[in-house]
Amino acid sequence: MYWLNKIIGFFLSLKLTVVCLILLSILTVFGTLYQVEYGLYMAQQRFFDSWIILFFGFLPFPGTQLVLSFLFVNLLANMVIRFQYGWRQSGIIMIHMGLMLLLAGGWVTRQFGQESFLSLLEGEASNLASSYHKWEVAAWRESDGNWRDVVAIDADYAEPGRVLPFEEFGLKLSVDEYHRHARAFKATDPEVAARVLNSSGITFLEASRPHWEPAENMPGGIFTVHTPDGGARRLLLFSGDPEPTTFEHNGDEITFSLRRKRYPLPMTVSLINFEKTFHPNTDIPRSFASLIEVDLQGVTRDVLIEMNRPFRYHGYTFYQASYADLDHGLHMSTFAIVLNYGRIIPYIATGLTFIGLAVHFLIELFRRRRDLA
Amino acid sequence: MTLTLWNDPKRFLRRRCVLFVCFLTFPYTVIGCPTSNDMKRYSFIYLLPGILIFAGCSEPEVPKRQYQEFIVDAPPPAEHATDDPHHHAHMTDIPLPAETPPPAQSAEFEWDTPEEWREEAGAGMRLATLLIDADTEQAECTLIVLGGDTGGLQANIERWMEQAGIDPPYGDAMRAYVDGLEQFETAGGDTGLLVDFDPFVDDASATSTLVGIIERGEETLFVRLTGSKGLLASERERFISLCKSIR
Repeated sequence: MYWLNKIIGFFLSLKLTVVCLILLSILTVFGTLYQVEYGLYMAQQRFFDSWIILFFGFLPFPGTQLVLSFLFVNLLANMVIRFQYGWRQSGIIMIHMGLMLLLAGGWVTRQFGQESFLSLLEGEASNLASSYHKWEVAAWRESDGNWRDVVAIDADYAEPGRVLPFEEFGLKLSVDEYHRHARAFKATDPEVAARVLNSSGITFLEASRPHWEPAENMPGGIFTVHTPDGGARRLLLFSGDPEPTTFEHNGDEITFSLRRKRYPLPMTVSLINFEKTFHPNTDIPRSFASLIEVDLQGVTRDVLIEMNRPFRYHGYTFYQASYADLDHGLHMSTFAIVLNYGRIIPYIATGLTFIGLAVHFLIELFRRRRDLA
Repeated sequence: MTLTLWNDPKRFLRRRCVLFVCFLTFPYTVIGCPTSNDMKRYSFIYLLPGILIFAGCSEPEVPKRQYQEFIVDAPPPAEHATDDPHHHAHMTDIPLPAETPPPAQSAEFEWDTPEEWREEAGAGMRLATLLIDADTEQAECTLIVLGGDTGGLQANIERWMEQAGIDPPYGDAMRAYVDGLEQFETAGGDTGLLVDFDPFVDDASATSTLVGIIERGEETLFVRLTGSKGLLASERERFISLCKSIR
């Protein structure tokens, strides 16, 4: 009982709140400075998505996840145990509930959120979004129709010595080497080139230092394809291959590709037209807009996506992110797709906090006026 | 009176010996360097739970994902109906990660890579990348082939200038520059144009560009060297010999 009281007292303590806020300030400062040299993604991973940071490689320091968890428990403990519930405290209670809701919303976003992109040429359609940072080893059989069944394994599992099973095709891929960022080279000797199967004729990879911006990395790997009859063939997959590599065995053709991780969308999106307008007499773009056709399980509709006018559907939000002018007058439009089931929570939390502040202000105002009277 | 470390240290430590042992061994197990026999004995206690946990773990199964992919390629533009519908721009022109570039066209260009330039395999429309490693800097030379109308010479020059951070001249000044471009003959009998941004760049460390444009039939080969003005000035002759060796 003594220890239980001690623990509860610790989490009820106002000192814990102050310490957490100070730690958050320190983490924000260091994370911001770290970002200047190492980029946003690395700063997020090290300071804001971690539980423990090791300064200088050995000195442990609480990460943002740990600090926010303690802060959440601190707020919850105070609300459950210490708060007095009455009309006069309603404003304070609403403020604290709003803060807790904000922290909870952040957790939901972090756990279940997903960021990806989709680039389409005019006339092109797709039902898959691509990850910015993650890659996959995908395999499929070509089909005559508009759909193909893909089996994919995250490239995070492509460690040397590991076996990637593709039982659907009766094949296994053992990983001989894998590099998160690689340079590809071709051998001029045809005999050497024939030892490794690759659609671009690449024969070996050289590991490069990973870029601080993960989206710039070009991974590559060399695998051994094992067939059911005991055969083996070396396969090289490079993220920069313009075409996937086809492996043929006993008349069966299986296509392999090392590509950005795909996230299935609940709809098929086709780009009908892309338009941009410029500021008068300049080449500075003023606005971009994409007219897309959205196919939601057989029901189609046209949607216009513009800058500051995203398209939302069931937790998905499509933003007009970028474009490219291509040859022959073609345009390519790129959409940033965010899946965030908790996107409405910060609005509710902010509204609740604002209302709490207003209520508390009014209660205090009337109380003081009554006391003065 | 509350028992604390200060008012009765022996009793305090006796009651908290387990925590005390963990506190002592924690830094050593983190650093991985027990320094005495006593510490080694206590380290075992601290590591035991970890050993038991990991002993029970087996290598996790590799999770797989299965999904359906919808395949509809963009139709070819009407005026170039025979072209591959998946033409994309120069990789350097695409601001965000894009889909992988299309298969290479049927260009049959050969060249002699200058000495001390390192060649890397190309992909798609990029036939090759040649790297120049100087003492403290690097320059990159790309060989890219495009078919048909490539957007216009002046438009391409203006785009390359903007990419290099150079304000393009306008009107008569640009026309005079384009009309005055140096021409050269390649080993394959083609006529090429040399675009040099050196007159527009003042600082030796600022980015400049050299471009060789070689047209052959319906295809155009762009040999584009990007690096600092100083480095490009020292490699200019090798660049021109590379362009002239195109066949």
